[in-house]
Amino acid sequence: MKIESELLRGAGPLAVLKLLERSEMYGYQLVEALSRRTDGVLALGQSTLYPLLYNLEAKGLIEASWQTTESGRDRKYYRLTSSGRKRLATDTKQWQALLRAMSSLGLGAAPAEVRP
Amino acid sequence: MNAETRARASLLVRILTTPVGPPIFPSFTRGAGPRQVIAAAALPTPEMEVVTQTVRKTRLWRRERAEVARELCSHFAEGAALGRSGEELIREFGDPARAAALIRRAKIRGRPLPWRAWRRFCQGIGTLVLLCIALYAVLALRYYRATPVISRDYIAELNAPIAAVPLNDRAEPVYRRAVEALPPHPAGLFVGGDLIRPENPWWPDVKDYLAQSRESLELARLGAAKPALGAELMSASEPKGSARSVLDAAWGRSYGQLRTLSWLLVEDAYRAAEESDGATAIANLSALLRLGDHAREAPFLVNDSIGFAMFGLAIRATGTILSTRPEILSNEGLVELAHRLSAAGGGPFTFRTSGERALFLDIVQRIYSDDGNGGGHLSGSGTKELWAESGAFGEPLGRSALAPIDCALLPGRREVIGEYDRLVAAACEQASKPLFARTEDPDNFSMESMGSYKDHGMVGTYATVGAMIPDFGAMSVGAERLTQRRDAVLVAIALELYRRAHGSYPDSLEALTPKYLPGIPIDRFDGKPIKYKLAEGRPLLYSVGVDGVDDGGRPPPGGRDPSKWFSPARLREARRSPAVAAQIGLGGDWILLRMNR
Repeated sequence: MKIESELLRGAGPLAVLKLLERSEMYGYQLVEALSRRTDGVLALGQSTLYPLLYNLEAKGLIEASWQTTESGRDRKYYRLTSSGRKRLATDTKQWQALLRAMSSLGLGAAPAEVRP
Repeated sequence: MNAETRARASLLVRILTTPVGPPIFPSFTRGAGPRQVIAAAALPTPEMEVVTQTVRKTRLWRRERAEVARELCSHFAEGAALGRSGEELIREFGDPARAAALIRRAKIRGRPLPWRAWRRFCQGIGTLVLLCIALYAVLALRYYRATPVISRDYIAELNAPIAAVPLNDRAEPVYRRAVEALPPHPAGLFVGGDLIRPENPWWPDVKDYLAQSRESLELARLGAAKPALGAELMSASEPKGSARSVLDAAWGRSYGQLRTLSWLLVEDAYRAAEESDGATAIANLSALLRLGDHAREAPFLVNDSIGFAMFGLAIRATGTILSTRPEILSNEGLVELAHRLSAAGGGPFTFRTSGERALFLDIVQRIYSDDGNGGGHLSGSGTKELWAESGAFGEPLGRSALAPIDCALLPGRREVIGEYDRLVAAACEQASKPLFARTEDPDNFSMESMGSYKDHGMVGTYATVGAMIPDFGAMSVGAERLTQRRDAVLVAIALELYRRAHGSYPDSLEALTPKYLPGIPIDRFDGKPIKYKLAEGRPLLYSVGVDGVDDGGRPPPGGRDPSKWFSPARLREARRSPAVAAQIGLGGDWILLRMNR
């Protein structure tokens, strides 16, 4: 389902921060995870994801480092900073409040369970 | 850099990758560039093209482009390792141009703060420059496209009453014949410059010339008897231009004749007095007064000045003859002279400003646009005319590239006219007061606008006004002094008539009223009655002069002029400073007339 870009604009960064909450991930991995875990709703193209990552990095919410895999490929891994964790916590509360408000209007159910 | 890559690189890149590169631009050669990174990733050509295109379009710094290239190559490599096809990966990647724009924006946000601040500053300056250019374009359009509308012919309006004078009632043709009939001046004798009195060594030559100029003198007296001058302001043979240019031509045509004839009449009056020909002296003095009235036909300051100068000649000559040869003047002649003097100028000597206002409005309509409601602004074509009319002050405004901006800041048509009227009204209000009641120099009002004009260099706030407003100060003081002299001569006539009736002069001027004098004129320097005393049995008429102190008819030492008016502020300064006092003639009275018989 194609989501309006205006709605995605706030969801995309929060979704990335949430994915990075548990562990660091690299770009391609993030693309796959966003698509798979949201049934394609948050299927951001690479032309959208990488600028998003660079924005989060410029804001100091995530940091990156290059690592070489066993197969010899270079990967740039992203992880949350302490500022990113704080922002994630704040934005999560706001989103939950928003979802409750929308649900009270009959616009959706409670948030789904987190998929691995 | 391998041979193939080097062959495709730009000249600058090739130079910087030689041994001279690092000293020139050290950071350029530090680390691999984006092309090397992409080449090293060994992606299939389509994916490599997408990455190359995206990275190039970001227009980021070399280091940043290499970083982005490395990450995008890693992304495609991951996809390929997971069995995704190149087409799939390229399709999911999206539009390279859009990606590049988003990546660029994001990467710039991550640059150092000083760099971002400098960028914002440059963007701000650029925006400001563009705004200024746009504003200038608008102002220039407004300025150069504005066209003045000449809606009123002010000269025709001023000329209408003159043109209505019947031809037979016009003195101007008679005066012209009088001047044409004049014989040539003898070598070394200039009739028309400074007056030559009987005591002057040139006097015999003057008398000879006057004897040859009988016809001209008769014609001058004949012309003076006409009701009006009838000198039209417009000449059909001359091109129509601005009001000022037309008037300059008119003044050149007519008023030189009047000046010549006035000098002729007054010199002949002195001759007549010397030869005890009182009737001719009175006829000449009466004609001279009428000449002054004729000169004032058009309501301009220069006309008033010329007319008052002629009145002044007649008044001085009358006073001189009264004090030296009163016996040549009959009682009837004295009464006639008194009436003529009282009537000259229509009563009090005052300057008129309606003509100058018409000139000013004519200039305004030639340089300002007209919105139909009395408003408008300076126009490009109009400002060039302004400087041509006012006598250029440096670079004419119209040629300056800043003219549209300067003129946008200047007051509009309505404001300029309002300011002119305000200043002229204020100056006239001061100029209409007798000298003792004036609180400041009327010239201050013209200087107020002129000061603003000069302070701003070429363009003053009210440059139009400053260029056109007349200087009232000296003219109005001159009119007051002329009034004082006339009053003194009228008193002298009354004294002479009294003496003839009673055998001696009165002890006070009250004895003259009302039979010989309607009222005692005031001293225009203190507002009290004009001063009169008998010195050795002979009347002395005087004014207290500029210092306002009655010195009993004693003139100031050193030949200083006590009749020259100064503002109260200047007088206070003079009372504190002897040096200033010496400059302005304090310490004596203004002797108006001393009867010697």
